Amino acid sequence: MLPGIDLRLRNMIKSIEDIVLPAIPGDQSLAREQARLIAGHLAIIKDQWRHAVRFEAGSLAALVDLAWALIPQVADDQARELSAAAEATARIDWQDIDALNASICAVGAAVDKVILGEEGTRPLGPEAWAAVLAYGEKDAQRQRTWFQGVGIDPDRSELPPVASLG
Amino acid sequence: MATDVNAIQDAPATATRNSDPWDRTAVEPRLKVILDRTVEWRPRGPYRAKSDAEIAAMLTRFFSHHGQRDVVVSGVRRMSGGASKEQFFFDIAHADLPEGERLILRMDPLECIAQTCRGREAQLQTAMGAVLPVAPVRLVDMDAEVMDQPGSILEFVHGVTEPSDSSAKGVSGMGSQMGDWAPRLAPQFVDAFVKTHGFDWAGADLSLFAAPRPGTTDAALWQVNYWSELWWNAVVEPIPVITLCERWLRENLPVCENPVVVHGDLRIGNFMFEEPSGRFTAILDWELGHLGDYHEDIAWAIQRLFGNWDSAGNFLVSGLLPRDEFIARYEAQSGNVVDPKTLRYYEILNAYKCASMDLGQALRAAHEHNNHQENVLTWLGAAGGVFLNQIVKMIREEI
Repeated sequence: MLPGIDLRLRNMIKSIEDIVLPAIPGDQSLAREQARLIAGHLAIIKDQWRHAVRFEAGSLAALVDLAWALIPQVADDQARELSAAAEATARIDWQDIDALNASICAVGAAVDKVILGEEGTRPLGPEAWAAVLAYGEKDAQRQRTWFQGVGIDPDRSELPPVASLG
Repeated sequence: MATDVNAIQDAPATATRNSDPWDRTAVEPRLKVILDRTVEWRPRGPYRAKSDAEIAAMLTRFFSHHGQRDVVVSGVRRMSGGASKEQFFFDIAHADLPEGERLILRMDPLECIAQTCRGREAQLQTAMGAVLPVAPVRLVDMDAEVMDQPGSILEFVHGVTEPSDSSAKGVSGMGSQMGDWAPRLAPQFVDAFVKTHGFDWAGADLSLFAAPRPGTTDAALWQVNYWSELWWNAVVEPIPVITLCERWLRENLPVCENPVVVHGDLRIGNFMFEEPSGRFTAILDWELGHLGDYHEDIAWAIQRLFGNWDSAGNFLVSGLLPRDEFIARYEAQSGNVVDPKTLRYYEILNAYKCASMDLGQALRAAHEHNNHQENVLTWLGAAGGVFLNQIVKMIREEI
């Protein structure tokens, strides 16, 4: 691909920093803040874009694993719904980021339904709590790693590089 | 203000010390109006940031509506900072004040990170002006009857939210460094909590608020209901840990013996001080204020995201003082006992609120292009994993 995505992103950042920002009057603080944020977002996207499909596929795979882990812990009707949602992911194109996002929403909705347990009237056993928390721990770590470039995370120094995510 | 305040003074009906934790209807009535309006108004987008000329025209119309003659609005300038409302300085002159004065417009975009009520904020801010420095409120249009969006007019207050010489400045105050200013600011910071929670709200005009019944779980339940409805109305992508957290919060509601005024967002970035004295000139952003449990404010302030570390590696609440010292000083001055179990509940609730805002409402507003600074919203949304991590850690310790 010529020109490449990295090159164009780097050029956009350079343009904002060298041309756009200096041209914004000092009293236009919102415009200056927006320009800095755009440069910041572009810098983060530069580190993420080549891994984006892999990241979303990893997110869906973890969610499907959670669904399968919950199935033995819940009632038959809930298990059937979870199973159907999880099995449907075998029929999507795992290289298509839109299909991955849609499946994350579908499986996530089925998992949410089990967790809420019809407004708390259906039990959620200790194993189910443990499964969601184990999933949550990994998911949070992935999210924090993916967005470490934002610089808000107080513990970002302990995170692995974005490229390590799968 | 067109809302019939007489119709919303009664608290949602709950009959026992422990409310039904899954009764989602137990929400403050005015907040329910705001939640419903958020969904109703959502399709009006995309929202476009207004030009200075449009703001001047709108303000001229607004002040004329309120009886001012020969209104001239000039010097409109948009303010940065914050992640929620649109704010503008402006100068205004009219027949009764030909020499003019500088005021501030605080206005809702179509959607933002937190959906709140300018009328409630104005009532609380006005009431708290009796005991704390706040920006006086001049006028309110909480239902956008005259202005294009709900908004309020505030008096201008001098000061800064972070030292002018600080090299570390962050979005919405997060990441700011207080450095040598801390010894001067810390006592006033603690005092702000003490005065807020000690305020005699029963005699104040807070007609847009409902009071949780003392000695019940109302205070916590109403918060869970408000934030969970905000989440479910906004959700872009399901997040199982947020859902699990909601269930934990409902199944572990603490009793609040005596509801107090809760600021809701009292932390670094939301107090203003003057240089070089360090004297507080205003406690800002009362939009999340409500009547509830003082633990909620303490738990909010001690979040790691709203603090930083000194050169010795000690965590400082809002960059000002260590956590234990903050709590000890608060207890000594207020007479309120900080119960570790209740504090932990509200730490989890607050992490839930932050996750709901950052990963829910903020991203929905950005998704719909219904805000004036979507780049800030998606920047904050990227911090959502921090709160998910906190939720997991804290719930694990509790079960």
